Amino acid sequence: MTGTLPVRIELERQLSRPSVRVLLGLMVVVPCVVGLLLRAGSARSSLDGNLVAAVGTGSAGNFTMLSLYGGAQLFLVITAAYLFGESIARESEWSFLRVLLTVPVTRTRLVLHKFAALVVLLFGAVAVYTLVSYVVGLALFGGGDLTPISGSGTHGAAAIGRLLMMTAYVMVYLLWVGALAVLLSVLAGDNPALATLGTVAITLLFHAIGGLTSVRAVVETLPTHNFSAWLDAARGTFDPTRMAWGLFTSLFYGSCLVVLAIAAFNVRDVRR
Amino acid sequence: MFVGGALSDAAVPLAGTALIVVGWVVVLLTVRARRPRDIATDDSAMLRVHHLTKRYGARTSLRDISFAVQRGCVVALLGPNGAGKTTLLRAIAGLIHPSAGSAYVMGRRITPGAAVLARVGVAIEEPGLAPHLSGRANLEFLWRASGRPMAEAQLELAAELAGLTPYLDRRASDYSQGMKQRLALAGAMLGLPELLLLDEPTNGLDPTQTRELGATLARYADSGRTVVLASHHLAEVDDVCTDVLVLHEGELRWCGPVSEVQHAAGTITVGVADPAGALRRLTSGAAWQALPHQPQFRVGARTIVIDLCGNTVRAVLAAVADSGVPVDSVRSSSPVGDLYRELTAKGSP
Repeated sequence: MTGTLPVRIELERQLSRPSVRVLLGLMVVVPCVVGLLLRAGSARSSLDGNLVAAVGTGSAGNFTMLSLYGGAQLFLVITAAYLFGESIARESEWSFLRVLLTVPVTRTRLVLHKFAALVVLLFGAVAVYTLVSYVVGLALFGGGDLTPISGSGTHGAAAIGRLLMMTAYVMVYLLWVGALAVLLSVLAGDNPALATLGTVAITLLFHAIGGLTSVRAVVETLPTHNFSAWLDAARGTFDPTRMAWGLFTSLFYGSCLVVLAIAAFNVRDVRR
Repeated sequence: MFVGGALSDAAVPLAGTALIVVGWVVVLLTVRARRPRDIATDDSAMLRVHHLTKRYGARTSLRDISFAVQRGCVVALLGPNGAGKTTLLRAIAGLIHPSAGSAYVMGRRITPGAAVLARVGVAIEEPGLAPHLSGRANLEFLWRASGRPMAEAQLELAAELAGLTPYLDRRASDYSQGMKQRLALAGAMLGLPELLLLDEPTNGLDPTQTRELGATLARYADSGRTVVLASHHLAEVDDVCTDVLVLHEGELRWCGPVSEVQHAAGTITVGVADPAGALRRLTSGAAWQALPHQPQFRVGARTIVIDLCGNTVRAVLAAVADSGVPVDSVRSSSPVGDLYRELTAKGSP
């Protein structure tokens, strides 16, 4: 007998959900749509005033970078919030949570194994998103160097290596978002929308606070503080310090939030 | 590639990151390897509830409940809405934390996720299912989540027992309430567990299906397994159940075998055109005289009221039918129903 609720089984079940499949489909569709819009925009020379978009159309690597930038700010955050926010609350809404718990699966194991399965799913989604972005970028804007807004760029295999590094950073960065969504999913009872929307709202709030220079000390402790640190990796010679702090804070906050979720779930009465 | 001194600046957060990653790997491996431990006693009862109390804030849902259920019994858990039936089943299934007391299954104390729950099938309240999956996929996922080999699930048998076989490959979202109920029942019966906890299993079933379910549960118990079912269908109790628990306002008002209840009360009122003549034919019939206890009776203007006196409703009705008396109507008052009404009446102790 293997352990209860194996991660692989949970992952298979998540993948069988129509909404998850739609979400994975969006990982393909969104970069295509963004790429086509940028292409159309650049053809009309309407990007002159938009430096970020102009840089984004410079090469496949640059387009990938632009996709990741937009994704890490909102689209991938929504994806993580949805996947993880549904984890406990949706099962509760379906009255499936108590069925699982009487399998029996311990509460701690249920949260951890669901989290692990969703991490695999999220990483897969981000990987697909990045890969599609690169392929779309290659088709629409051609190969070429990975060039940041300022400073020297990288090219060839080094550029691919940097893109992989950026993708890995975004994956890890999103872990605290997922952990927050799991905690809210436990606290939301049988209301998954509350968990998802709550997570997105809190993330956006942190981003908004991050723009306030008057509360610098607070801003530096927020998990969103280093969300764009991976852009440093686009430079020919870069300082990995911000990325290292970004990884640490994401994992630290993520770990704390998962522990809180487990504690909250363990003391909760499951009625559905 | 890196600017000068950058790696040394990044050393602290990288070391912290590595520590967190290693910590989580250890936690995951520990949780993966760890089996929930049972706290065992030498109790031989299949189910024992010991001074169990559950409070939600100021409201007490269960008050000092104690009883034991032996193997091979079908136990009816009766009580009006809000009596605490579902709360009691949830506590036995480890879904809620009792405020005081404990439940034991096969001598092992129930805690959330206790290993002994693998030997308990549970279907509480509305059926829990993943709507996007077929009935079969729901059952398969449920079993695979238990980590046991699929061959031990006896999925086809469980589906057959629950009357779900024809609908097994339909999407659960297309199921009627009755089919959902059967799916929940089949899920509870997967692996043919030694103890079944069923909450209102006849909800959504028509009278024929309800009768079939009763027969299924009786067969299930005949194989030495135990069934506890919370139900409002008092008629099921006489035919199927061996024991009765009556809950009212969170208190256990009655706990005992159905046979004890049957000695307490119960009548059948038979409507006939000629009561005196009917009574002569009835009492001279062989089936009437073969009844284990001679029933008492009262004759009305166009009725005969028969006190069961410990006989089952079925046996007395068979005696009436055997006598050949032309019957206009039959009204039965179940002994369990009488007891239930008496115990749950307003102001009863």
